[in-house]
Amino acid sequence: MALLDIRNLTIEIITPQGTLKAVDKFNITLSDGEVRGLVGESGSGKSLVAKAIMGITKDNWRVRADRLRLGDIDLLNLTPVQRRRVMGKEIGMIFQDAAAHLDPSEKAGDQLAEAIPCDQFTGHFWQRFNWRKKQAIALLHKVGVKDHKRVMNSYPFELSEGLCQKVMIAMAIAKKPRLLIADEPTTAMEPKTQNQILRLLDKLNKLSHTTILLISHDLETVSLLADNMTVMYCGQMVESGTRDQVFNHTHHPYTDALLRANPDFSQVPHKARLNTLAGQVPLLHHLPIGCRLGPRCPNAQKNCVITPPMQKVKGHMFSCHFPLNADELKGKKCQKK
Amino acid sequence: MFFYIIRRINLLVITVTALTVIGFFLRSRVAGDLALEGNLFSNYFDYLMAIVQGDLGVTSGTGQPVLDEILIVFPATLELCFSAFILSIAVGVPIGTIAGMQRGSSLDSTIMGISLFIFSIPVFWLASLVMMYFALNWNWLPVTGRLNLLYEIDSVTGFMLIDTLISDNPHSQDAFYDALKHLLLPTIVLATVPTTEVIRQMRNHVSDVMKQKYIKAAASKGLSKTEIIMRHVLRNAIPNMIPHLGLQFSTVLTTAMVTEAVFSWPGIGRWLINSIYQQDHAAIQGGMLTVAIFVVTANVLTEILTVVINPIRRKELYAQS
Repeated sequence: MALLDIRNLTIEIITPQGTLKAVDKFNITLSDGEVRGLVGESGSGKSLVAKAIMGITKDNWRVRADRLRLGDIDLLNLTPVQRRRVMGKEIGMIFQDAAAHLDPSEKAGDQLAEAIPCDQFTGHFWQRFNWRKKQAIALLHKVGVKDHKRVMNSYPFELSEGLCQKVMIAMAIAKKPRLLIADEPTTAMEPKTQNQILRLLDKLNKLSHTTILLISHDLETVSLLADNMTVMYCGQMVESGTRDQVFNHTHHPYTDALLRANPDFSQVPHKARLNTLAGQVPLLHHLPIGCRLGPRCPNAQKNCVITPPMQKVKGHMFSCHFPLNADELKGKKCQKK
Repeated sequence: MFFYIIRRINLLVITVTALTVIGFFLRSRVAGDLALEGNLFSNYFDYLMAIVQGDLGVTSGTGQPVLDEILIVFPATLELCFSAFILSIAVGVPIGTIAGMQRGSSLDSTIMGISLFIFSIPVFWLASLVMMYFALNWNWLPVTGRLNLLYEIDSVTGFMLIDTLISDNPHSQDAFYDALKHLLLPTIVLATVPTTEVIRQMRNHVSDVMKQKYIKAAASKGLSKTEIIMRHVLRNAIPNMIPHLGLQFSTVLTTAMVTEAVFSWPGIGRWLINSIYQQDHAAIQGGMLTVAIFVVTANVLTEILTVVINPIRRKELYAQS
């Protein structure tokens, strides 16, 4: 059953220079218990999607969608108060830049305790205070903080970025959410901690059956964990499918470029140029028409000024007029949207 | 932390010393007798010693020691200032928070427009206006003074509200209410300007805090809007506002002098104005020194308070020192 179902999510940012379409007709469906990777360069609108799901938008954003459902709840028709309750209970979010997302004037332990919902509590009311503290310590141990006393008594600016991130993760999983949105959870960490956190997310998924939307710019990290992945470029979804489909049967040139951007150094000749896509991500003010990859795409042709339709082959979605590995598609039923 | 406080107190001592130098020259210029004997430095030293011992000279008006008179009139001014400050915070913080939460809305511009209007009203005019309506026309509140002459209350602390409460006069309860009634109008008049300042500061700081990422993170925890305001917005906005309030203190003291003159409040402002009329130089110099020392001390104390209650400022402190 689909836990999160988004159809045609469009986010526009209203600026004095005009309206910018930061995310254009984004689709994603997460089934219960899966780990989905959302990959794209910085500025491709990954974090915007996450924030739109959480409903923490800014005043100058206009968020529209044909469908935005969490399980059997239609998020679009909720009042802000109802929506906040649903978010508080069902969705946990690990923010990018953890230190800025912790209140600088409050000790980390108190903030963590605040995130623990009361309705998990069973027992007498006088045990409540102690219970919260014990829960907070247990959560810290769970995310791999050994020295819980120091962390709980520190203000966020006294903690390293990695520790802040761990506190953030502890806060996100405190309410035992059904869906966990992890926005670049391992970016600020050294590799050892990074593996710890990824293992923790994996454990959460396997043991508590938490659905995870893992957002990252790093295809490698995502592929360690995610069963399915979605690739975004410039606010548009370019390809989506299982890990095997995306990695071994790539259809979109951008995904291909991302994969080749992780070179295997045993095979790269001495002083050879590394594989990169020419040019850079266009600014939001100067988006190309049609396929947004157009100007950088090695395979671009005249048709690319028309936005390619989303094609679906055996659950593998991509939007390209001239897909790679096109011979694999021959004889298969292709559904166009 | 300890060194920071030492540094602040050091600053306080230096400022106060500079003030005594000014006071000394004021005095030696007008009262020629001091300048005649000995050299400048030994004279200044004598003057300093006298001040430390509490000897500010004798008023030419009543022949009383200046310090005794100041100890009677200054608490009256302080009582007025403190009550005005409490009123302006009690009114300004909620209104400023509401305006800051909805910055740019029509409610915000209404609040800011009204507060600008109130800010621009001259205090002496407002004072006579409220006096005319509330005291003279409608007879709700007493016109001038600090306490009805019927009550005889001994001055212990100099603060009338406290004195009436601890007095063993059988009517001390009534005297307390009477003192409260007398305090009300001057307090309202004096509180107008600092209230608009508190509203403005509060609005700016609240709207700054609202843009921060940790407020979004708090919203994603499922906290309600009230919980977010009480637990995250105010505790980050108010500490930033305290130093601005400390700077307001000297403005309030100045305004208090005008207010006292209109309401015949027996405070240091009225006393100083009378001394100026009577060309009582010892009193002017003593009063000036007291007010100045008080303002400087209040500023230093608010700065120390800011650092004590605000962990972010402490962080800045450690990074610098």
